[in-house]
Amino acid sequence: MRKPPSLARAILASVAPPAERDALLGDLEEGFDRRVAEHGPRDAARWYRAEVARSVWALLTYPGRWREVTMTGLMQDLRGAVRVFRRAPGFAAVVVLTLGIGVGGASAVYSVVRGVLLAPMQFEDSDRVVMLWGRSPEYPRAPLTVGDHNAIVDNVASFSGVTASWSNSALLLGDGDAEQVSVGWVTPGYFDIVGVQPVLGRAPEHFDEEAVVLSHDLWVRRYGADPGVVGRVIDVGGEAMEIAGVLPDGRDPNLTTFAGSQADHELWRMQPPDWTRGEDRSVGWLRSTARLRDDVTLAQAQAEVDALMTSVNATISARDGGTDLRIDLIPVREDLVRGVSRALWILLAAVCSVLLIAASNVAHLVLARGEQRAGEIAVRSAIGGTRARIGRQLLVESAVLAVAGGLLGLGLARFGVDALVAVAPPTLPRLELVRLDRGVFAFALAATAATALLFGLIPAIRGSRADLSSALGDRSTTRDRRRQQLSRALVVAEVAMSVALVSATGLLLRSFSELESVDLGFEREGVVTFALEIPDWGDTNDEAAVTALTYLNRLREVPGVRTAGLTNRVPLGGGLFTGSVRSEEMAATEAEAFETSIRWITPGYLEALGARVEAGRTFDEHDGIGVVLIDRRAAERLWPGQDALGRRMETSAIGEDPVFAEVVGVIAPMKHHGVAEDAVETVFYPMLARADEQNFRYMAVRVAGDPVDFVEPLRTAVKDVDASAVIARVRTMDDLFDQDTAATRFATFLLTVFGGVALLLSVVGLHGVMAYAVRRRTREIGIRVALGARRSAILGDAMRSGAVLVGGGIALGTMLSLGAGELVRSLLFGVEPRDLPTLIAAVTTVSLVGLLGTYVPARLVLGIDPAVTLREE
Amino acid sequence: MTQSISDLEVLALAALLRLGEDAYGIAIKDDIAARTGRDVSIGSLYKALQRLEDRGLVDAWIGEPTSVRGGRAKKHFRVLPAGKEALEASLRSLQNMVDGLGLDWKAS
Repeated sequence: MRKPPSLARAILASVAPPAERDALLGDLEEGFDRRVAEHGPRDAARWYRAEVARSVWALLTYPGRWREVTMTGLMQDLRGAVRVFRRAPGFAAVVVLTLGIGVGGASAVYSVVRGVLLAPMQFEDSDRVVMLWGRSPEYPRAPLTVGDHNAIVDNVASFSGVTASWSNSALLLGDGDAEQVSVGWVTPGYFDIVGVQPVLGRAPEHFDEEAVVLSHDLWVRRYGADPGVVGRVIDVGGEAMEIAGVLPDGRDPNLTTFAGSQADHELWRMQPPDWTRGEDRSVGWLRSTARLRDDVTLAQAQAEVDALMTSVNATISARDGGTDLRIDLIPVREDLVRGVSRALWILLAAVCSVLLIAASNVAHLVLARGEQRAGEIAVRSAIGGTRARIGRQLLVESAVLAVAGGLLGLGLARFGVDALVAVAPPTLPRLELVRLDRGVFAFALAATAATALLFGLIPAIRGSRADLSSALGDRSTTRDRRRQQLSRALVVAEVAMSVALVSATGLLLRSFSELESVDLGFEREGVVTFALEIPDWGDTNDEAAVTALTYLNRLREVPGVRTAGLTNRVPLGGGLFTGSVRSEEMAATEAEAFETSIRWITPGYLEALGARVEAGRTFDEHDGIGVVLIDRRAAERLWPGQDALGRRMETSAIGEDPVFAEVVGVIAPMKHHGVAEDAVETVFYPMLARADEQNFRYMAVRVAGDPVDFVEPLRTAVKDVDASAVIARVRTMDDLFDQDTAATRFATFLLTVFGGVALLLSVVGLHGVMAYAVRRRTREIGIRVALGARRSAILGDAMRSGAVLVGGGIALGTMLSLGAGELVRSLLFGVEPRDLPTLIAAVTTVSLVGLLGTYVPARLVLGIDPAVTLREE
Repeated sequence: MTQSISDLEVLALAALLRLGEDAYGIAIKDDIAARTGRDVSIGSLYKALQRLEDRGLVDAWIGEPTSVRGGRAKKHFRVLPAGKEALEASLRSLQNMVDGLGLDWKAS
């Protein structure tokens, strides 16, 4: 007997309305049989397939086909679900809350990832804008030198434009109070290349010494959003400048980070052309930005730049050093978020594991509940409920829980986002883009759907397969045990994920305490720093030096002030200035110079910071350009194993031509560029010898007492010297330290929260599974008690079965922890990813909490009264 | 008021009347094919019959399982009085539309 083609028959069976299925299959089989007899099996099979194919659409659109599934059926199921949950409010509440926490947390963190990392920059084709950074063994991310910038401008065809920017600050005078603003100096074409056009006026296309462009903020704040402001002449640090244009709101053309956070220029002006002329490669200070030509990929452009640098490096002399410089092209968005992207992805991964734990928790809650309802389901199938119908009812119940959980999650995410933004470090760029939008909504929806599938589908498949004999009669069947096994496996997975999260949290906590106690090379307590901005420092170096000393002396007279000093940049305050140096001995043998960090300082500065002098002395007022201080790292590199004091070194940082300077002091290495960064070789130059040429002047003041209390007295003292002098960017050294470690603190704080929630959820899951297991064995235990078994033995038994779950989870979790450690490696400081004490602490914590979660339900066995349980059964 | 019915429904009603007791899926399909040359898919036919049933024009019931057809029962159909009226009305309209057009439409 020939059979119809099985696939076609299966398709027909699945698309046919249940009521017609048998008749339809029979009709086609009859037709098939007849055709086999008349035309042979091949023809019959072809006919059968064609018939099925032609029928599919008609069957799917069969009258009333979806009625049951859609309205009436669904309403019925919904009503059923609500009834079910009204009968078990505790169950429903735990499920909804667990889901809400999982979905809410994940959505909140995703909103940050989306805003900070994924949202496009708000200018035209922002993915074609790249930053250019020099990369040498000493400095992985250094500003370009004029020579390198020009080499790129002249030779690289991959760019449609290259521009350079640089920043300092200036005083805005007139129109009310004097105010310090951050100034971006740009080459012509900057705004075109970046892709931002002024909303008012224009951006100068050629060098225009007197033109300034205002940021939207400054325009609103200082000029009252006056549309007639274009053409107005304003006083910028004593220079008369004309407002050429105003930039649009919310489209910030500051492309680089500055002091850890995004640069915040509010006034833009043109760089004099002679700044970027020539081939000087001694000092890197240009932040170069380029726009890729439309037909060029990033890789092609990078290859062209690499080839160029290979030929440039070949021409560099040993004196200048830096013969192995590469230039990296980094898309501007990536560049902005590079410091935080890894941490954010890690946090998202962590919060998603919390979501997974929540989902598996809910899954075994639903499983256990399905178990309790096995009787009900068996009755329903006994009175004719089809498997599909019952499965659907269970799915609808899951869906109701999921929707409720998802809604709660969205609500929690709303608060979560606000909370995250509130505790986020100020250094997190693009924080203003973080919000609950459609993308986050879609994410929450997807997260809910995924978890609903996980916790809804498994029980639906298993639950609907209720077999009558087991559910109505004997309870301990194989399938029943399998359901138990699934629950137990889920708990093991939860415990494992908790161990991984807790140990990752532990690593971060340890890193954080290492950061807090790290040797900065100076004493951060009791120091306040600020930018000192005055209209006129004087026309000559001598005048400028006198001006500087006047302010210093006036500040030192303020009661409670111990000492004060000026520098071009305070530690941890951002700004990288480098110059190449080599010792006299190295110069004699034509050995290659190397890059060091440069600081200009006045007398009193190192004392104010509390830096440690390891040999020699610090500067005094009479030191000229012929003397320098160096830190121990520079000393060890210049004169390895020898005394550096009194030696001479060649430095290119001071002028065009190399100058020899004598080392008069060696300072303990200071963490200028970041608490977690290694200190870099640093050379200190006497600021008073070049007092008129400084672009940045920051004051560091050491006080007795809380530095915050001194801000106003210091401001008053500065105004005493010149009423239009301004102090800006006021930060205590503690502020700068906190800002520098804020990202780690943020990640640590969030991971601690996630780790805690994960632990809590696992314990809830463990408790649920244990309590359920004990309840199921009530009868058996009752019998054992009746037969005289000691309660302690039974308790031990129950504990053991819990301990097996915890133990399995911990074994698995230990392996996961090693992976998690690697994942967070880049966030660690002073601790290895496979730190044994941390792992032990994590395992101990999870074990203790896990055993507690076992003990509480296990104690239920003690309350079992054999008389009652046996009578019940 | 009689209900308007579709082309396929007209064919199905006529087939039911002719087949009487033997009116079930594949037989109806084959009858239509034999008399009109129109190869209706079994799915479309069932759909049309279901529409007729929903409107009270035909009656349907499941027969006893048979030993042939893979042991599956047939679904039988029977025309109800309203169905016959609808068929007649439909044919009358058609007749009225084509009367006097001099068309050569009688089957030979």
